[in-house]
This record gives sequence, C-alpha cells and structure tokens, in this order.
Amino acid sequence: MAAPADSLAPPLRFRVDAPTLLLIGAGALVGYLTLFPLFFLVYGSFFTPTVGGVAGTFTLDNFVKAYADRSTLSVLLNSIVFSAGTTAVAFVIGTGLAWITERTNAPLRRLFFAMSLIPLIIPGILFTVSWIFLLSPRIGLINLWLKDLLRLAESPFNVYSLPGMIWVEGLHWSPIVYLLMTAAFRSMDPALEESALMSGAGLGATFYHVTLKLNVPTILSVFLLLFLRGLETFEVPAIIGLPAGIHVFTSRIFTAIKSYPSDFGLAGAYSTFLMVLTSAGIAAYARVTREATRFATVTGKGFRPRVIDLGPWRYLAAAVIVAYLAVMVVLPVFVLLWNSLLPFYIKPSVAALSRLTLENYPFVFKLPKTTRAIVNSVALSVASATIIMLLTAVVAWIVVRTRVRGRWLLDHLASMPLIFPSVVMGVALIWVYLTLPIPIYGTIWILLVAYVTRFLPYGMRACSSGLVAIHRELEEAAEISGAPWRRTFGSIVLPLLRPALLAGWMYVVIVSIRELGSSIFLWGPGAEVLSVIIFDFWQTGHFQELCALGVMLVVSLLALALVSQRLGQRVSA
Amino acid sequence: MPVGVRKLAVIGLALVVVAAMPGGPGWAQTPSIVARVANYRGADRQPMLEEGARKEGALLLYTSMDLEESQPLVEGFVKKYPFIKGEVYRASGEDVAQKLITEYRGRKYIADIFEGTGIDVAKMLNEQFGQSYYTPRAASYPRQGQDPKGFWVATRYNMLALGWNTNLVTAADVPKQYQDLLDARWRGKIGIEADDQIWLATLLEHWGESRAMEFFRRLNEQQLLIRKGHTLLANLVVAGEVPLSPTLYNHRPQILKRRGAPIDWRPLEPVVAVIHVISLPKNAPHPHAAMLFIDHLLSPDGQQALAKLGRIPAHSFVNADPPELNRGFVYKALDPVVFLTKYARYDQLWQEMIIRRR
Repeated sequence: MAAPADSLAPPLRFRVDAPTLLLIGAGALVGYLTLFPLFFLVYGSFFTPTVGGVAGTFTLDNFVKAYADRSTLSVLLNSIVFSAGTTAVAFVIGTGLAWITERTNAPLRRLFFAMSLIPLIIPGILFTVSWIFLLSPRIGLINLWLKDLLRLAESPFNVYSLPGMIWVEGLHWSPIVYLLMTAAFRSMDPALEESALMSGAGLGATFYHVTLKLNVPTILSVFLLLFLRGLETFEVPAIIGLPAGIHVFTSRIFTAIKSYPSDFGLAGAYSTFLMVLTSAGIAAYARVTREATRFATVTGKGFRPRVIDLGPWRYLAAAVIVAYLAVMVVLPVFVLLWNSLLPFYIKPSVAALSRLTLENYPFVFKLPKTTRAIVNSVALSVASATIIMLLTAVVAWIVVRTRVRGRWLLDHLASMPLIFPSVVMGVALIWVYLTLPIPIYGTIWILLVAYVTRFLPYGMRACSSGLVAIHRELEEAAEISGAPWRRTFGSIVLPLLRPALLAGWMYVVIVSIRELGSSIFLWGPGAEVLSVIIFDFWQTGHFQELCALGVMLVVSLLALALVSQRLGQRVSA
Repeated sequence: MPVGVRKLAVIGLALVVVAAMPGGPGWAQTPSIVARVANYRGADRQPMLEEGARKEGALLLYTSMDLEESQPLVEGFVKKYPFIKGEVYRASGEDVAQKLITEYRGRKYIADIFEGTGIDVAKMLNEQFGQSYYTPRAASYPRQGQDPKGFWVATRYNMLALGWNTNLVTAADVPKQYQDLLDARWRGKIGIEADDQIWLATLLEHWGESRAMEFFRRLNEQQLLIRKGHTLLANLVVAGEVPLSPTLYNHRPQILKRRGAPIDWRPLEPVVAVIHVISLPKNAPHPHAAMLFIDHLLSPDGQQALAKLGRIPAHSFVNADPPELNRGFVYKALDPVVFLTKYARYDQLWQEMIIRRR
C-alpha cells in the first residue's frame, strides 16, 4: 500500500507511508460516512416502496410528486415563511438583549450575562411541549391568564398556527443570537458610535447607521445560520405543525416514512429538495463570511467599550430582561414542574394543590427503557464526540499542514454533512443499512454512525481553526530531532490543540444529547435515547410522565453546566 | 489522476463490491425452528415450551397497548414464569407495524410477539413476516376472533365511543347520535384521531356510500381538531384542550373517570369496534417464551387480568369490567384483511375528507 514519495512534498518530510496511510484511512472513513448516505438517498428516491416482500421498481413519480405537485408549493411557502419568521424573531430578541447588556447601563445586565447560558440547556422538544401548555387555545396558561385579566371572550393566542410555530422556534434560538451578537458588539470599537452620537444622531439612528451597518457580515451570517436551522428543525413542525395541518419539508418527510407502506422514495425526493435549499444557504454563508474582512471592526487600537446612559429608560430595559427570562426559563420550567406533579392535567389553582402527587417520578424510572435511554444517550454523545475529535484532528492536520494532492477533497467531504438536515440523515441511513448487509438498523451503532457523520463538520471547524493558529515550527523541531510522525502528532500537535479539541468535544456532546431528527428514524427497542423517549411519551399521551422526566433532565443538565463552569474557572485561575 | 484520489477511488470501489454482496445471515432464530415450536401439538407441549423458555430467558413484546396496561400484563406473565425477563416496546399501532417491518428488512429480529390492531398485524403478514401457530386456547374464541390460517387470535376489542370533558360539556348537550356532532355548537371543539381510517371505513360499509360521504363532508366543516394517538386524545379531553371526541377508545375515559378526571363517555350507534390480535413474527428470537405468552394472554386468567386493567377481553366467557364497555349497544367490526385490501381508497378518502381540507 506504499505510495510513491512524490505524493508528499516539503515542507514536512516524514517516512513516506505514515501520512499517506493516514490519508487513505481517514479519507476512506470520511468518504464512507458521507458519500454512502448521499448516494443511497438519491438512488432510493427513484424507487417505489417495497410491499409484500416485493422490491420496489424504478420510477420518477417520487420526483414528480415532490417537485411538481401543487401541495409542494404550500410546503415550500410554509418552510420559507417559518424559517424567515424564526430568523426575524430570534434576531430581534437576541440582538436587542445583546445591545442592552453590552452597550447600556441597564440594571441586571451583568446578572443576565451570567445566566445567558441557561436557556440553551432546555432541549428543543421540552421547550416546544412546555409552550403548548402555555399557548394552547383552551388550556394554555398565558391564554387563561390574559382571558381573566382582560375579560376576553376568546383566547388571544393559538400556538397551533404558523405564528405560534415561529414564536416558539424563534424564542428557542434567541440565546444563540444573543451570544453571537454579544461577541460582535464586544469586538467593535464604540468610538464609532460615540462619534455618531456627538455629531447629533439620535440613539435609534446611531444604532441603525453605525452599530447595525458595521456588523453587516456578522448579521448576515447569523441570518443565514438561523434560516438554515429553521429549514432543518424537526421538533416544532412535528409537535405543533402536524396537528395544526401546517406542513414543512421536515414534517412531510416524517409523514412519508410513517405512512403504510413506508414511502422511503418519496421521503428521499423531498429530502433532495431540502438539500438543494440548504446547499444554497451554506454557499451564501461561505461567501458572506469570506467577505467579512472588508468590514474591519477590530483594529489594533486599544479600546474599552463604553456604555450609553439610558436615563430613566434603563428600568424599561431591565424589565425587558426580566420578561425575557420569564418566557425563556421560568414559565417553561414552571409548567413542566406543575404537570409533573399531577395525576392528569389540571390548570393551576388552589383546589388543584390537593391533587399534587409525586408518583409520576417513580413510574418513569420503573420503565427499563428510561434508565437505558440515559445510559445510551450519555454513552453515545461521549463516544461520538471522542471519535469525531480524533478523526477530525487527523483530517484537519492533513488538510492544513500537508500538501498531499486531493486534500481539498477530504476537506469538502468532512464538511459535506452540513447539507444533511437531521431528518434527511435519518432517511438516508435507513436506506444505507437496509441495503448493505450490515444489520445495525435499530441498534445504537446506527445512531453512532448518524451522530458522527452529522457532527463531523463541527469537529472539523474546531480542529482546523485551532491548527491554523499553531505555528508549524514546533512540529518541525520535533521532526528535525528525529521524532517519528506518530510521536510528533501525539506529543506536539494533540496537546497544543487541546483547547480546540475540548471546545469541539463539549459542543458535539451537547448537540448529540439533544439530537432527535435522525434518532427518531433509526432507534429501536433496546437502543432508546432520551430525546426519543420524550417524543414517545408525548405521542402516547403521557404528559405527566414526560414532564417528570423533563424536570429531572433540566435539573441534571443545569447541575452539569454549573459544575463544568466551576471546573473551568478553577482551571483558568 | 493524483495518487490520493486514485486510492480513494479504489477504496470506494471495494466498498461498493462489498455492498453488492447478498444479504448476510441474521442473528435470530431461523424461521424453521420458530415454525416447529409454534406448531408443536405433542402432549408434552407445556414442559417443552417451559424448558425452551428457560434457556431463552427473555421476551420482548411489541404492542400498541398503553404501558399502563401492557407493563402490568407482562409483569403478571413474569410472575408465572420467573425465569423469563419480559419487556414491552409500546408505540401507536401504525408505528409498531412500521418499526417491525423496517427492522425485518434491515435483518434485525428482536420482536417476539406483535400484539396490535388486526389491521396493523395484517400489514406485517402482508410482508410475509408472520408465522402461523397453534395454541389450545384458541378453542375458547368465536370464529371471527381467529385467523382461519392460524396467524392470529383476537385478544381484545377497542370500542370507538364519544368522550367529553364534563366541565365543558353539560350532560343535556352531549350528542346522542352521530348526526348531533354536526350541530353548529360543536364547531372547533371536536377532536379526531389522525389515523382512524377504520372509523370511516366501518361507517361507510354500514351506512352506504352516499350517507357516509354526506356525514363526513359535513363533519369536516366543523373545524376538527386532529391529534395523533387515542390515549393522547383522551388526555387532551381531560385537560380541556379538546372538549369532545367521537374517536376515543371507551376504556380510556372509563379508567380516567375512575381516577376522578372530568371525563365521561357514551356509545354512538353503531359503535365501531377495532379488533386487536396477537401474532408471532417469523424470526422471533425467543419462540418458546413467545408461545407461553400467547397461551397466557389468551387463557381465562390472562383475559381476566386484561379485564381488570380496564380493557375489553375477546374471550367468549370473560366479561369486561364494567360490562357496559361492550354491552348494551350495537357495534360493528370490519374484517382487517378486507380493510387492508381497500386501504388505499379508505386512506385517500380519510386524508381528503378529514385531514387535509382544513
């Protein structure tokens, strides 16, 4: 298997085979993980469903149905309105909060910054369910309270609508926007804003003409990120959209699989449509971030962000912060807790207090699948994060450090899963493992394959940006001293990469533990994960048990976050 | 071609060759063993099954019966045979069938029993993934409660009845017949289960095309609230999110009412009865334990346990608890195989008349 020496060029010289073998190994693995699903998805969408043991036949109908049917237009419109709406909601809320905490003297702003990570902890599915209990037309708490307060005849809100879906999804993504925009505000020289203010521009004009416009690349990239998330998301479309009869691509794919006979081909055809949309979004994203250098907001000049005095308005700003925390954390957690303590749903009242019970908690744990789901979820997220970081460390090293021909291909392959929304990945992997003679459908191995493939790009990004920042002279020194490649990689590259590896690892652990869109298609009895169990509890009408599990999940994730924050502080101190 | 790329191409080709190989062996029992165990009629059948089950030591039940009932049912079975570790996989009948079929196509054979609606079991049989079996218990069941070819025996009936929230609907207002659902006062208040094609199909066969079409067309103008899952729908009625629904399985409101929830039910005639049956997947990894479970659930003891949990037993001589669950009203059940052969049409009508046009 030795490759000719000319495949390697200076500046780094190794014994001929090590990196070449690695390239082959890593390339084969990455290629297997990313190309097979894509191939089988497209291939499978040309077939009719298998019924009665008779294999499907070649057809173009799936594409005709997915692309030319009149109903697709409404699905496309729903998808776009939903994504654009969530983008707007998340952006306005997140940016507004970032501005208040970074640029004004509103009280509570420091406290809020410290708490800003908490909303990220609540998994999407729990957040969605809790908002149904808040905004449902007949039992939603907010509706009931407003009806009493304002003496309304009708409920003011209905979560089972497109605006309802947009609100829940947008709110769920606002903490991410907040973090991204906070970073943007921090790295921007406030002297520019001050000049505008001194030249007589009002607060609004300054915000619009200076603050926003200077951050155009960041804002555009945040827009695209949110829009892509909106196209890909599954929880809100499945739990709120399906009962409301509002279909988007992800829920269409889900119902195609769930029908009888399972229409994998039609799901595949819809998936290709969705992938065209996400690919376009990613291409635009790459373009926007590449041009970011034209807008230099970080200069060599030292600066200290100065705050704007809001005067009496600062109390309004503080009220906004409090209101945000209420809708983001307090209310959702409250309905979960309330429901978890009831034998069946009763709206909060003094009379209901007498019915409170703790029996839902032991019931949840009596089911063997609950403990198994916890073990599986933890094991899967740790395993996929570890595999991803090790694999991408090698791949990123090849891409960044060597001049092996074909390395660009490796880079592209490792980033390709970005175009797979989670449900599409699920459908694609069903195809792969129903066709290949590898019987892992419905086991935790297929979930591992799904997570590793889907989150590969995140590891890749963490590792390559980490590597770019490390000068190669240290590796060269090791090389000159005669260290073999293995040693150089193990003792120099990996330790230096540790912060990047750790950050990437943590991120992959978090996203894997929340993953639902792929898992819902691939799990099986014995291979349960937490998100699927929660979805199952919802579908089978076990709200109280769902909420009990949800409360425990939120509490333990919160504890985990606090502990890791403490540990982080101790390490850095 | 650069070397790296060529190598990748070679590896890709090798993988494709591997992919093209014929299917590998499964890990489960071969069908012939399952068939032999399932159809054994010797005098030593019981000791033979027990001895085999002792070696197998486990049972995985696929069912659409809610965990509140299926879990205690399996616990009762395990108490009788303590050497078997029993477990339940529960989802909606449509999901269980879909999961099992997909698993079999992916060569994953873990289900020992599939208990669900006759329709969902018929889907599995339609894919040739079922195994016919012999059980001496079948003799106590009416003829329409067993498959002539021996692939299933009825375990229970679910009756689609009208359930309502007693805080939101007064006793005087409760609809007494199907036509009453069309009253303008119920606009936006009627919940329908998303996959109750059987409801439409049974009423269509009973009423005839024109009357049924007229009814469902007008029902659809009532701004229906579509929800997936009968247990979920019943809980939504209790919560008050859905004030009333003609597609609740009557045992659920009965159980919830006993617990003090604000819900009640009554039959709308003819009541649509949904037959539930027990079947054996052809590669069941624990066939001995599976046969013991089939015997157990179909025995008077098993059926009594089912009745005590609030379900409607299929056994000819075991009563429901309370007996009103299946007495005092006219009910109609459709042959699952007939239903499945005409499923495409029923589903199309259902989607067009109830689900889509809202």
